Amino acid sequence: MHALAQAVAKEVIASGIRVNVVAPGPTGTGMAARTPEALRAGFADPRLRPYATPEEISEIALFLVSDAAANLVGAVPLANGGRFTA
Amino acid sequence: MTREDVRAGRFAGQVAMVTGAASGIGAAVAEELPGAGSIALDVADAAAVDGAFQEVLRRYGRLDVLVRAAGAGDPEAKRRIVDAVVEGRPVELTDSLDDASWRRVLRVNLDGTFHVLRAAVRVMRPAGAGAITVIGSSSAFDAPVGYPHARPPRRVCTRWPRPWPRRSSRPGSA
Repeated sequence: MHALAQAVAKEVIASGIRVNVVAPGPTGTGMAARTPEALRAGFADPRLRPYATPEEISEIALFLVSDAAANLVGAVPLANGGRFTA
Repeated sequence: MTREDVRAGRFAGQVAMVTGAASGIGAAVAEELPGAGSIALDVADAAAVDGAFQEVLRRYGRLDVLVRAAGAGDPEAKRRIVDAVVEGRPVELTDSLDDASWRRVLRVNLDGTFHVLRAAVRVMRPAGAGAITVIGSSSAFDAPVGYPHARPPRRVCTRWPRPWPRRSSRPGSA
């Protein structure tokens, strides 16, 4: 999905359309609530940030479609609280 | 950018669409886009997606912003992963992942993203402007064990679209 969005991003920037992706880590949504507790517990390392909130991820999504992100094209920021880096 | 900026009208006057706005991240985004339209849409249904975007074009004359947030997980796969972890045995899922589960996740996550992007570009390109964010997943960077259908959308798409090989215009060359 990310590479699809990036391929489209490289094409359509020529038409003035910016496409970006945000890659959230564990986020407190209904999808996460349907994840069994034992799996969720594995993400809940007390040394790390807790699950992201939907609002925190939406902030990144909204930044990416705003004029402030004018130079971000095909970017895939990883928003996982530092659980791993890429 | 902060929520205060949004409320102060950063997106004021812009036409925005959010897919997957009923819950989760999509709902959080829709809440902050003043006047954003959100409709129930099966993103795996290409005709329905096209229809929805054309309706926005008909009603508002343009589309400035799209956030694509609809995504599908596989709770059954997660349950089997948990069972294996709890019982202290290796996760073994790939050999028994059925066609229906595979197709269901890929229909929404991969086909759905394609349908939405295509429909948005069709509306935005004539206007020469637009901004799109796709909500993906950190699992694209580090494959979770026992969740093979979550990662392939990225793998598959690194081969799509493949540009045609360049041909030299000089006769006799490869």
